[in-house]
Amino acid sequence: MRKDVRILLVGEPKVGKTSLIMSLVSEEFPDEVPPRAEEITIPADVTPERVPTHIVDYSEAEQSDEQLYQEITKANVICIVYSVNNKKSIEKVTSHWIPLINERTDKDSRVPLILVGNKSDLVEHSSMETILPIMNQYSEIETCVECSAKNLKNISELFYYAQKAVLHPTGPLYSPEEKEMKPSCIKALTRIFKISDLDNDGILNDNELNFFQRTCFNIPLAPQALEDVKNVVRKNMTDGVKDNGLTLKGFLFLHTLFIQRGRHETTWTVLRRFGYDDDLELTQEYLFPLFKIPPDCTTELNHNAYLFLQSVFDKHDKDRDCALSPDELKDLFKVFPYMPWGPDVNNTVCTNEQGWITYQGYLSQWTLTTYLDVQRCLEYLGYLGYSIIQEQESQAAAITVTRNKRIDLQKKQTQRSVFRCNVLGARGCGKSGFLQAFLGRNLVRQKRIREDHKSYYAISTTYVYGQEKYLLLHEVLPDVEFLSEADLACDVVCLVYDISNPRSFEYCAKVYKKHFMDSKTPCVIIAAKSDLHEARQYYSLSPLDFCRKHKLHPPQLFTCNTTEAPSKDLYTKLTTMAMYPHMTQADLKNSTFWLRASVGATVFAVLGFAMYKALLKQR
Amino acid sequence: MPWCKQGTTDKLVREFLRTGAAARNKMMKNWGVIGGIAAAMAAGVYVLWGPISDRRKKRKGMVPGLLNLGNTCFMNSLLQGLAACPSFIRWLEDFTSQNSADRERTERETQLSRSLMQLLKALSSHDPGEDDVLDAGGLLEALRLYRWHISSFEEQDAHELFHVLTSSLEEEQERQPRVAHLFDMQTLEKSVESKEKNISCRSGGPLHPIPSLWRTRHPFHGRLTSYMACKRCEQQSPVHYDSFDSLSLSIPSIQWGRPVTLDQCLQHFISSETIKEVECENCTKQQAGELVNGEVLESQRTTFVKQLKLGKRLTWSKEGSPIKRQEHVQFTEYLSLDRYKHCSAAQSQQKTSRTNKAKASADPKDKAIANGVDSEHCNNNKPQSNGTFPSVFLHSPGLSSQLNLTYDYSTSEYLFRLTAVLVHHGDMHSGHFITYRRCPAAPRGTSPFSSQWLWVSDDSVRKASLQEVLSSSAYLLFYERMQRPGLRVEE
Repeated sequence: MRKDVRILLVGEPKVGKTSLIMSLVSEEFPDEVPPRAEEITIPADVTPERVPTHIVDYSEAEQSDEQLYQEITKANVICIVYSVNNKKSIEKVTSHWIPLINERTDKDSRVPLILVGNKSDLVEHSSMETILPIMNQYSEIETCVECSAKNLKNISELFYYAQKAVLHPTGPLYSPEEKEMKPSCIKALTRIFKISDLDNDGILNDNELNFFQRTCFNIPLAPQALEDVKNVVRKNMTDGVKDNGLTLKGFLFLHTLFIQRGRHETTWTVLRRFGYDDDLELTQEYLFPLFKIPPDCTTELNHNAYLFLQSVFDKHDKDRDCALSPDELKDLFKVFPYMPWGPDVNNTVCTNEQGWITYQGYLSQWTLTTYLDVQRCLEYLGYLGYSIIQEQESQAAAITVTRNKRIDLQKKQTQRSVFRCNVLGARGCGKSGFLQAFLGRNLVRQKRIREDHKSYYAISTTYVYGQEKYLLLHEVLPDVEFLSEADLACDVVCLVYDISNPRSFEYCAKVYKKHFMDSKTPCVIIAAKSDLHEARQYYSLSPLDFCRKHKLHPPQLFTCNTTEAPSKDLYTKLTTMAMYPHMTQADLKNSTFWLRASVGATVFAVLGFAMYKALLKQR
Repeated sequence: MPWCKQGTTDKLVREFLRTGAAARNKMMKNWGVIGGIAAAMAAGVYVLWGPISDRRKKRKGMVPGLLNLGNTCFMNSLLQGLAACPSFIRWLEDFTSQNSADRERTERETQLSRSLMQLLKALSSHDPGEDDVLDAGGLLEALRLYRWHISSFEEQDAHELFHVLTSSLEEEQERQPRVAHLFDMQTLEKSVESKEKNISCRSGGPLHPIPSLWRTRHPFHGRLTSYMACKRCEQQSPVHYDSFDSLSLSIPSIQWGRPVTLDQCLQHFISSETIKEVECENCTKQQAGELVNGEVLESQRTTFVKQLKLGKRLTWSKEGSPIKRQEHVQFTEYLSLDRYKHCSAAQSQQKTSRTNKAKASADPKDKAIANGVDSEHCNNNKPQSNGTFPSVFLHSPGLSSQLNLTYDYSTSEYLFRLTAVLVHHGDMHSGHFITYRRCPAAPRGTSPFSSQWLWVSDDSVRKASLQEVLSSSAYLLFYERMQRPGLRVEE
């Protein structure tokens, strides 16, 4: 939305440019006018559109061509003034002023023009017959007004339409030649219709219309008004009303009707409410609201956001099978400018036998996006119209920022719901299988996954002491010589080795000694492919001895070569370790405590014995 | 800047008044009871012995009084002042009739304007009504709906109530939506009927009637212009227009013994002042990147004032406690604002000549004052003299006001006539508001103004002379612009 409006008046000498400005601000005709009026700033509360307005006059006698060019560049709207009783000034509009303005303005930045016929009190007939062909010829002409500074006729209208031409332009919405809305406007209004169609039946029923009315215009809707609207639509088209509701065609027809009646500010109000700018693109302020994340904090969806996403799922799950088919998924993302989920999403979350994303998988993918890239999540929620449907200030209301992790460790409890587990291991040791098993896929199903649809993430839910928590597994590429900071930042680490490969454990041992031996992150050794024959590892210590030495849990046996879905017990344990990392260190604290207690007792005993000896000597 | 300063002072004074109100509350209650008893006794005496014929006789040329509902003299005096302004009543009539035509709006939303309309109509009616004393309780109730909490025994400020009324009326006006909603078929069909041939829009359809915010403001609305000019390079900023409902004028410190006039207050209000610490863009460019804080000059001038209301007597002493200025400010029945009209830089020479005129009128003023003092002893009918009168009249004692009116009437383009004066008796902590106002004019008269003045104090009404009005210590002054004869009526 534009913050202020700058109006420039140009035209031939003596046509009355200065008189128009002075008539506006003084509300009376000035008998004596200077060659040029000073630049005027009018505060917002005086103007009809509540926007500060600057009005600039032009005088050929006082100003040079260079100054005129500068003013043309700075203006938001230009009023070309002619005298209705002076044919030469009318001809100059097309022969001089419009070419000059077109030459001096950038073609991308559209400057609307207002044709102003002054001194209408001096003639009996209107000059509109001459002016209307000019307006039809030049698309940048927004309005033609005939006025009289002497009679104060149409002075307010003139400056109102100049404001309106800047704030509510017709160009992006409507094509007068074809008498139709432009494709970009139809596309935007179609998205608005789809968002407002809360039950996704292709019809805006009375409840949805009332919600739309309250959202966009904040005025209660009378039942009679609804009937009047439907009758008007029925009268003009056959398929605008269906089942006593408004169809998309009827919705678009209403907007076209308002635009044709000069009421395009109504359509602009709707578009701006749904986040569109003057180019009919969603604004950056709408898609990416200001959002700050302190260090060591994560981002999660809050309860209202999950409810909203659940309603979006229910809205598009037409066959009620708790899964989204490819067509249903495409329908859900119709309000997006692009398809946000690729085929890798089906290998990131839970799917059903047909490979369709389940309800749980759907929520898991949203949780993953929020955790890894909150800005993208805000963008997605913006496309879905979260702040509008939920009547919130912005999408930021859907996000919860968790507490700093150091505070969680100090207080030995966390409110987080999403935990990250990085999976490291040598190539071919079974990391991908470990991720896919978390999604309930055994080896037979995993073999059907295409290589280009592979995903390095897997996210699903586990239950820890009765609470549902999200565990996000991230497979770290082993080719990198040095692990990055992001690869090391996680809540729990899995070090995977292949029991049938004698060299596999060596990688895990090196990574642990180099990166995790001194850190507080809990570590788990995973003995993958446990269905195969175990081979003796080449590393100096056996995996069991290694774990015993470094006070780790014994290696956890894992295999995805099962007849049914692999067990989730191991993942529940991982989530528990992520939730309560201090418990693994409590063992260390316990041993240190007992050691110190023993030393203290010994010292006390020795001192006591020495005291006893001293007392005996005195006797 | 003076405007902002006055606003700040105003707020501080109001806060002080509110703080001290609680202590006065207990005292006021007792006085209220005693006053009520005394009023009842007086009413009883009047009913028993007042003849009916006398009542009708007294009613001629009078207006109804307003019942004091418990220290509501500030509201009563303001209402009497507003009732003396025909243009405001005319505007309010249009406003309320327009609202009644709109069915969608509930009656509750327009309660303030309707109750105000009823009161002012009764107070400005020429024919004697049924009641001698009216009740403003309905208006008080409507004001409470606007969250303006008025306790019955707390003293309030008439100037503050004026702003509450104007802002509430504007709020009622703005409740009409500026954008037609998507299901507003009535508005859409209404726009088809009005076919304006002189305006054409690109979308092709006939244009709808525009929102009337540019024009339909209440008559007290006026505009101030101000601009800044750099002393170094004389670069002038764009002229900035601001709105005001009333002008708060401070009383300038004049030499001892000299009377203060309204014109002096106005000139003090629009005088230039030097502002430092403001960077001039032009100087910045000329200095080739060097940032220099150039001194800029700010000038304010009132322009295009339809109606003017002046008054400010509270100021701060050196010790920081508020005191009331007791100086008498001379004001006249007619006020010419031609000097205060904004003119552009191209007319600076004319501005200089006007300044010379002002200087010329200042010199004979001393003689006029001396002359006035002499003539006060031998001729009481001489009008009060001040700077607005041309010098030719200052040397002619015995000139009648009729000739004076004729002269000003023909030459002045922005001539305002005094319609009401609010006077505050008392000090900072307590007091009483009364109103001097004009009688309602006869319906058949050519002029909407009557020459008869009234003194109104709550429910007491009596006639007053113009001399008495002009010699009062004004707290609020109401002026209304006069229309020139033969001039077409403003749309």
